[in-house]
Amino acid sequence: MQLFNQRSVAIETGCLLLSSYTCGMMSLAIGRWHYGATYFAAFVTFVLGVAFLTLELREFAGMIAVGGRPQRSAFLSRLFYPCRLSRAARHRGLIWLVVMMAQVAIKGLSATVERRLLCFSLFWHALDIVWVWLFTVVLPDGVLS
Amino acid sequence: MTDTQYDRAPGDASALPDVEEGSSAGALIYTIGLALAVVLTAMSFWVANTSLLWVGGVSLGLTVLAIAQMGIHLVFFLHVTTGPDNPTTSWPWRLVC
Repeated sequence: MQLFNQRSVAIETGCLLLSSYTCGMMSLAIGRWHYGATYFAAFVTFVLGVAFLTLELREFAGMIAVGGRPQRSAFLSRLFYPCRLSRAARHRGLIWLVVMMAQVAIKGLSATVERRLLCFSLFWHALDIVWVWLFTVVLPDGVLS
Repeated sequence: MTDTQYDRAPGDASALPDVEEGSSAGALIYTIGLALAVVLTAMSFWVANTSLLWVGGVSLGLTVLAIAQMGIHLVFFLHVTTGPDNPTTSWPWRLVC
C-alpha cells in the first residue's frame, strides 16, 4: 500500500522551504527597520505555513479514511506521532507569528520586539530542520514499503 | 577593504560595518541556501525513486542527503558558521549579544 503521495510530500517540502526563505527575508526587513517588507514577508510565511498544514492534514485524513489509524500498528504510530508533534509546533509557530505582527503594529520594532522576532525565526528554521528529518527518514518508510 | 572581508565563511553575514551591504549580502545568503536546499530535496526524491541504487542503499542515501540538508539549513538559515564573530554589524546576531 502506498501510504504517501510523493507529489504532495514534494509540494509540502516546497512550501516549507519557501516559508523558511520568506522568514529569512522578514529577518532582513526587520534589520532594515522596514515595516512594509516585514508585514509582507510575515504574511507570505504565514500563508505558506497554513498551506503546508492543510496539505499534511489532508494527507493524514486520507490515510485514516482507508483504515490507517496510528493505533493499528507500531509502523503507523511511528509515521503519525512525529508528524503530529511537528504540526502542533507549527500551529504554535503560526499563532506566535500573528502575535508578533500585532506587537510590531502596536509597539513598533523596539529592541524587545526584535529579539522576540529573532526567537521566532530561530524556531521556524529549526522546525524546517525537523521536517527535513521527517520527509527523508520517516516518510520514505511509508512510501517505499 | 579590511582583512575580515576575506575571512568570511559561507552563510556568514557581511563583516563590513555597512548596513546596506549587509542586507543585500544577507538576501544572497538566504537565496543560496534555498537553492541548495531545493537541489538536495530534488536529489532525495530521485534517490527514493531510482532503480540504480541497491535497496539498502536508498535509505543510506536519503540519510546522507538529510544530514547534508540539515547542514545547509544550519549554515544558511540559522547562520551557524565558523566565520569570525561580528555581533555588532550582522543581524540577527547583534541582538543576542
